[in-house]
Formats: sequence, structure tokens, C-alpha cells
Amino acid sequence: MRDLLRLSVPLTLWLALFSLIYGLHATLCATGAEGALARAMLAAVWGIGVALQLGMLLALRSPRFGALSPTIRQASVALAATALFATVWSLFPALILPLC
Amino acid sequence: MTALRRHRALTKIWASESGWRRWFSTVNHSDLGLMFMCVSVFHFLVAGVLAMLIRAQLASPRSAFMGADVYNQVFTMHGTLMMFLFAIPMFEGLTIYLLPKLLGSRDLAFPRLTAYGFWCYVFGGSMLIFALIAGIAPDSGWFMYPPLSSTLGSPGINPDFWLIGITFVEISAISAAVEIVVTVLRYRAPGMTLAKMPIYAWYALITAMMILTGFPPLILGSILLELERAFGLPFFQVAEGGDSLLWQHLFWLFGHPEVYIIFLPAAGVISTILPVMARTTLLGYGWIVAAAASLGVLSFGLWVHHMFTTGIPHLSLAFFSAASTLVAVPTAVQIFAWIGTLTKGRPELHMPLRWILAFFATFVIGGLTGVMVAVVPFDWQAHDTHFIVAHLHYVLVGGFVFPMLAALYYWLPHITGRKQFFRLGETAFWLVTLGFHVTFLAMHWVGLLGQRRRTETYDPGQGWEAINLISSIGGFVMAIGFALVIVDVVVNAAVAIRGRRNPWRAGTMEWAMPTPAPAYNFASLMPVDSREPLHADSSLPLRMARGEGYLGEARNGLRETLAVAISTGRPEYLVILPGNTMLPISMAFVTGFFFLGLLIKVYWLVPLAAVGVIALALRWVWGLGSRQDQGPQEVGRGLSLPPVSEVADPPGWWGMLFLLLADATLFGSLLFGYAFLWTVAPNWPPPAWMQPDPALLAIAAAAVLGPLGLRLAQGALARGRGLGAGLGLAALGLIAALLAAGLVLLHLPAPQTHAYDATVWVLMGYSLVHCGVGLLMTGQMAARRVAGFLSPARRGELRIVQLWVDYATLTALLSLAAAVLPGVLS
Amino acid sequence: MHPAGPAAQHIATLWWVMLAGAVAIFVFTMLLLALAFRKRRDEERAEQGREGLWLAGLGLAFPLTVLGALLVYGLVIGERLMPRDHPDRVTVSAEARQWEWRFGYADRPGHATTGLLHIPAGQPVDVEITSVDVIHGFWVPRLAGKLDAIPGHVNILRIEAWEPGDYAGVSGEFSGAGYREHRFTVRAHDAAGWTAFLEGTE
Repeated sequence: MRDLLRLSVPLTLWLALFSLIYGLHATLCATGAEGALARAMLAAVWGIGVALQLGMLLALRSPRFGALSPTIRQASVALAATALFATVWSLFPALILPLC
Repeated sequence: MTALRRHRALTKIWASESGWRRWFSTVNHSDLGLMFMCVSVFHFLVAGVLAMLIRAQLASPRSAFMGADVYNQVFTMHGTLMMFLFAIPMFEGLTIYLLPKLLGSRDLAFPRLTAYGFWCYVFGGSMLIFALIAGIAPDSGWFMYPPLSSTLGSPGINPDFWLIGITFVEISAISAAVEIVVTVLRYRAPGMTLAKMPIYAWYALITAMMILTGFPPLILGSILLELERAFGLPFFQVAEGGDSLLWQHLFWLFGHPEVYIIFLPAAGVISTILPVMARTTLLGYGWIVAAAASLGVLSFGLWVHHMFTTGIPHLSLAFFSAASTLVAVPTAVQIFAWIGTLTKGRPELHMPLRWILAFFATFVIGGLTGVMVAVVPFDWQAHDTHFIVAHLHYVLVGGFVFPMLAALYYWLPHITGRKQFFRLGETAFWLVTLGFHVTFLAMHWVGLLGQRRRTETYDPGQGWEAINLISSIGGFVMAIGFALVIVDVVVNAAVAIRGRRNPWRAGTMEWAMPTPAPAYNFASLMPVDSREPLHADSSLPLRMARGEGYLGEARNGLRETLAVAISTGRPEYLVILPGNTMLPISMAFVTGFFFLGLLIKVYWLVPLAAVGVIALALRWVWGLGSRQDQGPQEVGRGLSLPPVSEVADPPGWWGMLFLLLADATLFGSLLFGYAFLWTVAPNWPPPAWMQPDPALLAIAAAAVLGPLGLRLAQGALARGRGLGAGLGLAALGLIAALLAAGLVLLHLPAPQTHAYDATVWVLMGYSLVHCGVGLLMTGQMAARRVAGFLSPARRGELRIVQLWVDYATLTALLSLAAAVLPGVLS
Repeated sequence: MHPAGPAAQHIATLWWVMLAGAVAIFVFTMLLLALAFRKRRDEERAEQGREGLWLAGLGLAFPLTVLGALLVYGLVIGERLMPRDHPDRVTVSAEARQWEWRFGYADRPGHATTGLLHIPAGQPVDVEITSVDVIHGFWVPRLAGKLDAIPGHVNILRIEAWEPGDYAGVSGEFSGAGYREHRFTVRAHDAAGWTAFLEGTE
């Protein structure tokens, strides 16, 4: 069971962040809350998300939280790296494109 | 006992009935897997004929062969049949047939559920086929956008066939998915750790998890749309606070993962077959597992890329565009891992490898055009043209049909026990692949020239005639190719000579049994500690047949198999699987009446059928378990394990857990839809919000007695005391939740008034159903305690009920909170 | 693919760039596949089966580079096509129904046309698109990409025609039995023609 969590949590976290930022952005646009504050909120969520993903990646590499089986370990680290990368990549437009 | 006598004894226990009853009462996974695949091929052929009609129509301009009304039914049904009644069931069938064999186990986790799913698929599918024959088939496109598919655009019964028929069929997808997940996690060969699983099991696990989280949004969308069509609940009608975009979100929230639900099993087939064909091992097993899992999750962040032209803010599109390009990366990892595997191996060009090469040539093109349409501005031009049609056929035919043909040629000797003798397959291969590329390469071009999909004809003089004619000719060549494949398979299955076991010299467990597969799969369950057990120990089949593994004795006439620990594969308990029964088909039949009543608007039939289903379900679970403590049982090799009735987490608990995962996704989608309408839909707020009433809140608070009571009961059972107090409290809590939901419904304006009222109505309906079922389960626990099924050692089923009641109470409280939240905020 | 305005032009360029890239990648992949079948010694095979090369190099680094570049390029173009503020901008409205298009003009209130949209040539035009019944799509292939007409929502599409003339438009979203014949025409006027249209003296 723990191995399954090691494999699934990072990407699930990405999905949650993705939905959160998408929903936050839609809500901000729908309520007309454009401007610096809105941008700061999106950037903050993005930053926290990246930090969480980074923490997850380090944890899965550590002897304390990492998997015992080498294959599962390799796969879980690869998945955590993917999730970190996906968070940076798929949500960076929140930092640069015009909001609404 | 000799191997032959063991074979006879086990066959007697595991075999399906003989004669015609066999097809209706079997719960054997090999039988049901083959039945699934045959029915899905039937649907493939019907949909293929429809495709030929489309190409005949488009071969020449201003064709008078079909009018718009017929043409619209034809292309809608082509897409619907291929997606829902061919591709998904084909995956289910193949996996149901293969999975226990690959995992070195005797059957799937819930054999009767397999049968129930199959019959739901057959009955639901026949509703759609009937609609097609009767000329009242759905005609609003396979993705059924309202308002066109709602009463406004389609007053007739046509869309109802889609909404109700497909939802009925989806029962089979959900039940197969639950089954596959639990089987992969718990029904493996002893000692097979997760990392030692054959790669296909990983793919099946990921695909099944995707079905559990991907299909519920569609099921919810279908329920909402049907409620709008049948009773006027305005979820998608803009004037009453609905929004047609909600459907698109729900549909594509399902629809994009669906593409990967179709592709991943095919990738699993390739990862299994390709190393065997190259006489080597798979390059980068861990990488591939990670790539498949990333695909599975990333694909849930793409749905809006089908909605680039709906006027969503560019920044939102950018998220999805970025995620859509990103999803190409794990695909690339797999493709290059496969090419790398071929390079390090010594490839032999048999039929399965040929089809895999056809996959490469086709799927890479489909992937590249996919990246193109992931780029937003290009999609604005290409959207809804034949370019998209060509792209999706490259992905789906290249990424699913060709690998499935590879699978067919690879596992056909396993299914029939004969070797390929006639060589029609090679000719068929060239006809299909060349025909395919002629058809669809041409179609890209005509799409860029501006030909829209879903138009029944076109005017001459736009430069489209020659391209369309070429495309049609290619289509017919491909059809002849497919016909030849079928002839090839039938002829080889019927008259070719018997082949030897394991003709491909593969290393996976399915080849360790005689072919065709015996009903019990393995005469004994051998410990496994390699990904290619047959390569690690070539005497394995013999030793299994001799009964050297676990459960080598056929005893008590019981279908016995082992459940193992999830990560380590250590044997944990002994499972007794149910035998042949007509219960699944009867229950599917009664379920059919439930859906039929909805379809033909004979509403008195619906509650009647629901009662029937409940009665059969109670009958279904009543027979499980045991009335006395048995203690650890001998399973061979000097090991004793507890029987399934005496463990804390029986397979049923895991099944319930994953069923609730799907259910929670449905509930989450409902909350998403609610939030979406609230923030995005025009014509909000509604005339009146519901106000939180103190009495209502007090009743709702009493609902926590449900989970509390079951915990009390659990404690009492452990100490061997009576369950009355605990179960009584639980019932009280559930009744309070029912009452709260009922009160809300009483005070709500008619659900037709506004989308808000309609949504609250559905939320409360959801609570009523779940808490009602919880109440039934609680009552059943009381009955089973009296009947002696529960004891301090036998507590597993009470934990299953607890899981359900926890979930029902939680969602009931969340529903109430969601209903009153806007009223509190305003 | 004969662009007659900046939006369609950008998209056409994008297409040719992507086509060239896609052909190159396809040929490269098929070449690797073909190379797998050549005859070699066993040590050579083992040497070629390194995970780093195939997975990290070809599987990860290669597509990420290509896709990163493409994504940024696509986003830049998408941003350019957005209906942002522009001094010469003209606003018109398009209302779809089964199976007809009605157009209105901000600069000529009260006037409506059916099946024929008048715009000035050489000026950016924002089309406010909506629908009164089912979902339709506004698409003038030679001028710009398509945008859906959704009941209850107004979507804004920026189009521009370089030269005066008639441009064919079609509905871009399936809408039932009359979908094929659901067409309209965009007529781009020169400066004099547009003034005449606004004054009602055409």
C-alpha cells in the first residue's frame, strides 16, 4: 500500500494544483478581480506547489521515506520528478500571460 | 496424485456447465474474457459497416445516397460504437482473459461481478443496436453537445438511447475496473512483488484506475442531461441558469482520459510482445511504469484542449496547451524504450511484430499531428475539420487496433492451442495498413482545405473530389483487409494443426499452462521471483502440473486461490471463489428493466426494477462468508493461512474502496459542476437561495451517529457482545441524514425553476440513495449476526459496511453544506 | 490555406513550421526503427541497449526541447491573435441560430444584416459571437480560426482582411440537419465603401 502511495501521490498533487490554479484563475476572471493581487495569488499557489513537489522528490530519495525495492524506488523518484516538472511547466503561463 | 488426475479433479470443480447453460451461468474468466472480446468484435464490425457507408457517401460530391438525417445517425453511431462498445470492452475482455494467467493466479477477484458486467454490456449494447436498426439512433455527434442533444435540438427519443444505453454499458466498465485493480493488487502468484509483475499488469492497473476516475464525470453528465430531457431540470439551459459548456467540461473530463484508457492497454500489449519478438528483455521497466503512470495522471489535465474554440480565457488555454504538449513526453519515453528494446535484441519478423511496426508508423504520425492541434492557434483553424478526423483515426487505429491485432496473432495460439498454418494474415496486413494510410493521409489534406467533419456532402469545384475518392477507395481496401483477418482467424482456429505449448518462447506465466487454457488455469500456484518466470526456471510448467506449488490438492469441491500482500506478494489468506450461477445474468436483466423504464418513459417500471435489483443483490451477498470459525487452513508447502471470511480486509473491502473512489469522483464532478454554474453560467444567482434552518442543521448533526454506531458495533463484535446498540445507533444516524435531505427537498422550489434548485435536488437525491443503501446494509448486518455469519473472528464484512456508511454520511453532510453555502455567504 | 488576413497568415506559417518539424521527427524515428533490424554482433547490441541514451536522451530531452520551443511559439502567436485594444478597432456582432447568421454593427446601431457581414478592409474587426439556440461556430477560414457561438455567452474573435472582397464563412460546430448549408459571407469594403455602408448609402 505504501508503495502505491509513493507512486501515486506526487502526480495526484500535480492534478490538485492544476485544478486549483485553473479554478482560481477562472474564479478571479469571473469576479473581475484582475490586477496585481490576482497575479500574486496565482504566483503564490504556484510557488507553494513547486516547493511541495520538490519536498516530495527529496523525501522519496531519502532512506527514511523512499521505497525499499530498487524498481519501485526508481519509478517513484521518476514520477516525483515528472510531477515537479509538470508543475513548473504546465502552470508557468500563470506568471507571464495576461490574466483574462 | 498424478498430474492427469489432478487435472480431472480440478476441472470438475472449476469447469463451466455443459450445454447451452454454459454461456449464461459461467463465471470463469477465460470464458467471459472470450465472450467480451467476441461481442466487442461484433460491434467493431457493425461500426465498420457504418464507416463504409460514410466513405461511400463522401466518395463523390452531391451524393444522394444518404440525407443529412440518416448521415447524422450513421457518423454518431460509428463513433459511439467504436469508442464505447468496441474499444473499452475489448480492453476489458483481453484483460479479463489474460490477467489471472499473467499473474499466475486462478481467477479474477470477483467472478460473478465479471459476469454481471458482461451482461450489462450485452443488454446496453443491444439497446443501441436496436436504435440503429429502427432508424431512431442518436444523431447529435458522439460527444452529444447540448442544447443540440437536449429537448431543444432533439425532441425525439434518439439521444435517450445514447444517454441511457451508454450509462448501462458503463456499469460493465466500472465493475471490470474494480475487478482488475483488486486482482492486480491481491491475486498474484506467491512472492510476485509489485516490481516483479509482468508489465501488462501495470498497464491494466493504471488503465483501470483511470476508468474509475475518468468514467464518473461522463456518467454524471449523462444523468444530468437525461434529467433535463425527461423532467426539465435546466442544467444546460442558459435561460434558467444552466450552461451548455458544463456538458463539454464533464464530457471531456472523461473524453480525454478515455483516449489514454484506450491507448495504455495497447501500449501494455506492445511492452509484453515486443521483447519476446526481439528475444530480449524490456528496456527500462521502471521507466516504462513511471511513463505509463504519468500518462494516466497527466491525461486528466488536458480536457480543455477539446474546447479551445469555446472562448475560454487565453491563460486557461495556455495551461491546457502546456499540459497537452507535456503529455507527449511519457509517450516518447515509451516509444524510444521500445525502439531501444528492438535495437538491443534480435528481432524476428512474425505477425505480431509486423502489426507493432504498423503501430509505430501510424501512431507516431498521429502523435505528431496531436502535438500540432495542442497548439492553440492551429487548433482554431483545424478544429472540427477532417484534419481532426484523420488525426484521431491515426491515434486510435494506430494506437489501439493495430496493437490489438498484434495481440490477436500473439495470443491466438494460446486461445486455440493451434499454430498458425494458413498465411492469409500477411495479405490482410498489407491491405489494412496500406488502405488505412491512403484513407487517412488524404483526409488530413482535405481537412486543411476546409472540409468540415459531419457534413453529409459537399459541392464540386473546391478541389476536394479527387482526395475524397482516393480516401474512399483506401477505406474499402482496408475493409477487405479486415475481412481477410477474420477469415484468417476463423480458418486457423478451426482447422490448423495443434501447436506446441509456448510457441513464442515467452517468459510470462500465461504460457505455463496447457492450451487451450484449463478452467482452473494452474494446477498449483508456484512461488515466483522473476519477471520472466519461465525463463528463470523452464521446468516451472511441469512442477505446477505436478502440484508442487500451493493449493495443489483439489479438495471439498471448492474453488480455492490465494490472496497476497500488496507490495511483497507474501501469501496472506485463502480465498474461496463462487461457482457457476445464473444470478449475474438475472441481475443484469432486471437492471436492464430499470434502464428500459427510463428510456421508454414507463416510470412505474423503474422503482419496481430497483427493488428487484436490491433483492437480487441481497441474495448475492447472503451466500458469501461462513457460519463458523474455521481457523488457519493448510494451503500446501507447509503453510497455513486464514480463510477469507476471517481476515480484516477481505477482497470485498478493497473492491468497496475502489468502487467508492469512482463514486467519489462522481460526487466531486457534481460539486465541480455546481461551482462551475455558480461562477461561470449567466443568469445566476437564482430567484432565492436556500437558507440554513437551525432545525435542519440539528438533524444533520445527528447523522454522525451513523459512523459512530458502526464503530461501536465493531468494538462489540470484537468482544463477542451483541450488535443491537451499535447497529441501532447507526440506523438512527442514517435516518437523520435521510430526513435532512428529505426536508431540503420539501422546502425547495420545483427543480425546474433554476439550475441551482436542480443541482440541490440532485445532491439530495444522491444522499437519499447512498444513505438508503447504507440503511439496508446496516439491517442486513443485523440479520447476518442473527444467522451466525459474524463472530469475533469474522468481522470483515462489518468493515465493508462501515466504509460505505462513512462515505454516505460524509457526502450527505457535504451535500447539505454545499446547498446552504451560497445562502450563508449572501 | 490561402490566408487573406494576419490571423490566418500567422496560423498558416505555424502550420508549415510544424509540418516540416513533424516530417523530420517522423523520418528520424522510422530510421531508428529500421536500424534496429540490421545485423550486428552481440556486444554491439548490448552496447546499444543503454537506458540513458534511449530513455533520458531520446525519450526525455529530445521531446522536451522541441515541445518547449513549440509551446512558447504557439503561446506568442495565440497572444497576438487575442482581441486586445487597438485604436482602429471596429466592433460587429454575430448571432447564430438554426440555420442562419444575423449581424449587427456598433457603428451603425439598429441596422442588421442576415447571412452577409460587412467589415472594413485593413482594419482589425472584433466579432462578438453568440447563439440563440444550439452551439454554432463562426469560421471564415481565409481570415482567422474559428470560435464557438454559445447560448448565453459572448465570445470575441479578432478578424482582419487585408484586401476588399468577399470571403466565404461557414458554421464550425455541428448543429443538426441544416449544418452543411449554414453559411455566410464576409464582405470587406475599402474605405469609401465602408463609409457608405455606415451612412446607409451603399
